[in-house]
Amino acid sequence: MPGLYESLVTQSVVLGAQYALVAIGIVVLFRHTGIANFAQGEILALGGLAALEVQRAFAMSIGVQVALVVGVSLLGGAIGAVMYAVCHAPLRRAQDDLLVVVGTLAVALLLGNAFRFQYGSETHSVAPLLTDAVRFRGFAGPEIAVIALPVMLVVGWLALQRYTRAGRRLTAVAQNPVGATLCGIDVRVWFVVAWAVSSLVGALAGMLVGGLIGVRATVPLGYLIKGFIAAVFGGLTSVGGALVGGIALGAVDVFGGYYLPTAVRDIVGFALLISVLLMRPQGMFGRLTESRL
Amino acid sequence: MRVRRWLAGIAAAMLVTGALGACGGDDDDATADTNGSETTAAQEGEGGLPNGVGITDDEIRVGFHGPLTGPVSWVGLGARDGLELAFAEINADGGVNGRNLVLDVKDDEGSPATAGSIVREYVQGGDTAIVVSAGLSVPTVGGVVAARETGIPYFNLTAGDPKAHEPFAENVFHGMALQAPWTGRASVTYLVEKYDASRVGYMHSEDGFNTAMLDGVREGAEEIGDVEVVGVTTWKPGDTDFTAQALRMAEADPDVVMVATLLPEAAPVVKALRAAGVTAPLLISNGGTGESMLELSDDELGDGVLGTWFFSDYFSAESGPVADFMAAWTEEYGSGMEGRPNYVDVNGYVDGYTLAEAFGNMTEATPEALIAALEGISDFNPTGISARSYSSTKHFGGTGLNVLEVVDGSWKSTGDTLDLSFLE
Repeated sequence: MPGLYESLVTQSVVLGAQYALVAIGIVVLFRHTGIANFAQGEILALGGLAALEVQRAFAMSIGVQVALVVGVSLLGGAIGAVMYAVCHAPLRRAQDDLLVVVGTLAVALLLGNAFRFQYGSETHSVAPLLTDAVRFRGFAGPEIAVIALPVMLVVGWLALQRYTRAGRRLTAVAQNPVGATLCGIDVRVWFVVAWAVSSLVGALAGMLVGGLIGVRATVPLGYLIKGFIAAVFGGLTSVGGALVGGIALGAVDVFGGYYLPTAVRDIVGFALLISVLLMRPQGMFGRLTESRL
Repeated sequence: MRVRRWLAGIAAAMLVTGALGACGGDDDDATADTNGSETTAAQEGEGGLPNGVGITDDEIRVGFHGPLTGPVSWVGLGARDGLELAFAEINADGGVNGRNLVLDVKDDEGSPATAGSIVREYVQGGDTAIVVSAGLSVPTVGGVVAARETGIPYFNLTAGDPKAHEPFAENVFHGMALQAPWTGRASVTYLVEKYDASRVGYMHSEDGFNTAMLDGVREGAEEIGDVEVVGVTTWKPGDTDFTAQALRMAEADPDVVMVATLLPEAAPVVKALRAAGVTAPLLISNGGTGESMLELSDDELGDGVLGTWFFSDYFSAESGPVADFMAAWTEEYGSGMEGRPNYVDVNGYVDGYTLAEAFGNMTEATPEALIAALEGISDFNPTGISARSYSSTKHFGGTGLNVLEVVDGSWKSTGDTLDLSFLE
């Protein structure tokens, strides 16, 4: 049995990686479209519930697991594309991003109630992709999967942006959509890509986290809020910052949960966020954007 | 134009005068009741019971509020479906004295303010015999307060928060909603006796019921003597990580642990406790006793866990009254919804029959007569699932909680019940 501090540190990383997964999905979309997706929690639930259904229908062989990862990725990407078509494209014509955000809230309510109606309120166990038999230092298989995904996403995303034409186009769209359009880039296509990638990350996260903590019909609001805090903490435009923000918040939650009453634990998290924003309004790793009048 | 205004003014004045006359009149054939409607002796239904508030020739109207949408919709939907199932069976059997029971359902969205408004709407409508509520404790208190103020008969199916039960009101009744401190006291007494425990761990969700249960746990421990409540730790409903709480419980080294939780957190908390090295026997509160614990059995974590339960059997029972209920429910609503039916469905069903019994025993169609009829119910258990007993001083109808245990991935009856004799 590991010691107290070892357990607390291990769990800080595990919980932090979960928050980071939520945060990365939020950051990818916000960085490239300026939209905060309030249905990100429901997309996580979708990934977990898809894994639950597959597990019920099939014995979990390696082949089924690979198919599950591919299937959940495609499902997440498709949902993102649909959300672009339903929320972003029509509502943005009104030239008000707030309308798009409200649109994502409507989707969240719709999906949340539908999932709750079908799956009830209990937490369902889902077999993890990596079992407890796999161990590395203090981490068990399901925890390793949850920690590895955000690290891989950050590395992959940074490589994509730096070394590929698609990544540079995405960055161009994020930095100056009008300028990108004038250069012949179809901004709408890259908006769809951003939505699809953000939702794909959410669905994959839901599947992996489900293997660790179980699957619920709706991801609790508090969990989503923690993801947003991690994103803001790291800087809403920095994928790497989302990872750091997630881990920091995980540590606050786990150590705070042990040493402080529950209500104070959350206050500490918010206090930390406010302190960071007072010193660096753009978050730890975000960039300030200049507006010229 | 001016003439029209005058005519409208005269008409309004006549209406007001007429209304005042009706309120202040001393007509022997009509008596104003607490809901502001009238009972007329000339109007009388089949069974000799005259028409009255919410009672017409053909039907008896029962109001209902509960969360039908949102995170705790399983409570509102469960109660609604259970009540409607019971009413459908009773109506198919001829109704109550020839009148059909009709449930008028409203969504309070889990909001105490909305719950209160709905109760007042029913009172103003004047066509509802009784209002039934289902919900978590805090929202239900909103409905109970409005019922106390207005005097309309009110039946609380689920809320165990002391604020929903106290102060005592003659028009407010409770089904199986055992007060939280009572549950806590009975549970700790049971655990101490069963395991000869002197250190009882208590960890709980910060919802109203499970927080209030701690008072009863402490009271029970003090009453028994030489029993310490240790490792008290909490989480918020919706939390997903319980490592810190589990580590604190492990450090407290309890002989037994009570896990007072809502359904979504039950399995993750047990998992965290076992991962933290807590090997003590676990008792899950009735709010957390559910299917998720059985899924944990796949990892050999669920077996041996105890759970308090409203009925003698769990849903998976192969025979008996709960199995009969399951068959009837599935025939009516199908089997596609996970987590349904739940214990609220069953409580709704049981108390649908309780209400029908009271309506059938009314001597007059007044709220006072309905209250008297409810208070006259004693050891009433037509479904065989759970008995109800009331009196003029006891408006909590439940008669006890049972203890189940996870055995080979199923909840099985231990045959044990929690001792509520301290209520007598």
